Amino acid sequence: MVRCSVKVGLVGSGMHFMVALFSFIFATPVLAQPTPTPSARREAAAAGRPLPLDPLSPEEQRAAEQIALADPRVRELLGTAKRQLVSVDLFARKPPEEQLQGAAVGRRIEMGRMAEVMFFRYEGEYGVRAVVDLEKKTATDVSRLESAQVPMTPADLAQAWTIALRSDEVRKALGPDVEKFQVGPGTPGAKARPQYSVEALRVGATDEKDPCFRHRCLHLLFREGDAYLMKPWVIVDLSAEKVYIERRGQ
Amino acid sequence: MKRQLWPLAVCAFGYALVLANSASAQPALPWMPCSGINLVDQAFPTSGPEQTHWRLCWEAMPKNGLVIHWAFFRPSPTARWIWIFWDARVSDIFVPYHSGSPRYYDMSGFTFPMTAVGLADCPASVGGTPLGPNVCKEVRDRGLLWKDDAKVRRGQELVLWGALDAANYNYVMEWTFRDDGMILGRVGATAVNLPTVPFETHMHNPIWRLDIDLNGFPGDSVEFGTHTEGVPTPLAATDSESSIATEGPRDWDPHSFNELHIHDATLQNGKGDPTSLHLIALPTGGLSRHDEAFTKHDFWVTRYNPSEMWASNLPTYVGTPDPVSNADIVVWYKGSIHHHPRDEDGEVTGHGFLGEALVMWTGWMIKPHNLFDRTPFYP
Repeated sequence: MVRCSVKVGLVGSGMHFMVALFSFIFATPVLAQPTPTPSARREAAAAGRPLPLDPLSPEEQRAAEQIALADPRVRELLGTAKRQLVSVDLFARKPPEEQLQGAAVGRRIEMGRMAEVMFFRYEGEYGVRAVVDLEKKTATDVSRLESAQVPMTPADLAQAWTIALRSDEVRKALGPDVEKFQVGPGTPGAKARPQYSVEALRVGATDEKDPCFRHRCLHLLFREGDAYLMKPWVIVDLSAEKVYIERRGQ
Repeated sequence: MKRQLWPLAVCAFGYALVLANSASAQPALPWMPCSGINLVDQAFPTSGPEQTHWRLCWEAMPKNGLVIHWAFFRPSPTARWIWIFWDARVSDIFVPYHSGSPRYYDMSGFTFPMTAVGLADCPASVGGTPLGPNVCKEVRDRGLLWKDDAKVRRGQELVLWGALDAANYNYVMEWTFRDDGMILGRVGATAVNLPTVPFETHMHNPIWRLDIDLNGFPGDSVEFGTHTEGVPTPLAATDSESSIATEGPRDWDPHSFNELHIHDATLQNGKGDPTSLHLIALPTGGLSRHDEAFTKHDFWVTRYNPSEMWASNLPTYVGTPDPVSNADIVVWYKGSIHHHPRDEDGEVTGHGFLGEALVMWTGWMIKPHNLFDRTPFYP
């Protein structure tokens, strides 16, 4: 507690009080403002750039894909065979602990801006995962993934539906409305579900005798308005490009 | 006159310094690596002087749903901020049907998008605010915090939720951060039963990956809490904690009240008591076991590895167990929803199967232990 004892003459004491009051009012916000620290200056310089864990913009996603594809390890794994970009996600790598503790007391820390890019190579059926540093424009980690670790995508669904449409049995089961069905709404950003839609769930198999064992299979679901059709039960094996109709439960 | 003024100016300067100092007595806000709607900053109570405070980042990811990236908690306005999460997410949702097939991986199997969330899902009348197109934030009363005869205090909570559009199913992922430092994670299964076998019973098993960094990431350890009745005498009971030294699984037994206790090597409350977070299973009916090795256990503890994100690979991750004592640890928990279809789920119509399975939940809670020095929100 600060105590001030000031002898002020009676003459002019009102003016003194006013001056002191103004000094107090104006000095307070100025003094309360912290002196810009190096980290605050860095923060100001970084203003306008996305922070390390802000969602990736579409431009950053495209850049991440290009950086990954420029990496010789990725190119070697993907080769020239047909491939698919599966996903580009934000990736966070932990900085050194001493930096991290700074964040808890308000200091900006350098984490970089990273993305995880995943591709699928059709020939040989495997995935390629690359962790990309968007600021240094390099791929830091590259690894090969088993097929089961690579999620299937709306592009796979579209392909499965194309294969299914070659099946007379599927066409017969869906009847005259077969051509009305459209894939969706599994596509990110799709606004409305079509009246006749095809959706999919990935089928896993643990039995070696199951045709979908170690294959990329999708179970197609058919929706008309709000109702799902209970049949046909269509499984498309994208690895073998075959269509199976499951009879169970019908 | 000038001579008469300077003492006053000095005095004013002194008062200004005191004011500036008192402002800085409140610890600086933690720096967060996110901005805009992805940064959530919530003080409690929502009106009146602040007592506790959450600060966290979130992200809506197409194949992971709603992910929490960082979370800090401050138990009082003058306390320092405590790091809780580096990353918290649902790693997968495994859905085996009773006949043995199909067996779906509803998150890792397909890059499902999140559903839209609007004012109908997230109305302002219940404290809701849509955060972008896929996530709802609700800040709401949560019922009694404590009651002692006529004395009572109601609690409040911050809830973030979003839903994954996994074809016929929607999975609601909910993260709740309470005013008393408690965290709850839940997954709710809803929408339409598998139309090809809408009446076949099945399980929805969400597996959470919780990268808890209590007070920062090094120096964390996990103990397995067990309650035993009849020890050392028939009428007595004992609670024990066994250290988990290396990576591996643990099982939950309802009679043993098993929990994972996450400790930091140095974190204590103001009384000098060690602080920990207790991960407590909140099963709805039970916890399932299936043929797949990763479903044979309820809890797993692994050492942090940024490439270890898939729940179904857990047995591989712990194949050559790394030490997890005084380390950067990740804990995993598998919940189960036993979905026994009923007429309330929907009906067979001329066009197919029509109707919606009402939301069925399962989850867990993280309860702070010795984080506060005294009863929170006690006068």
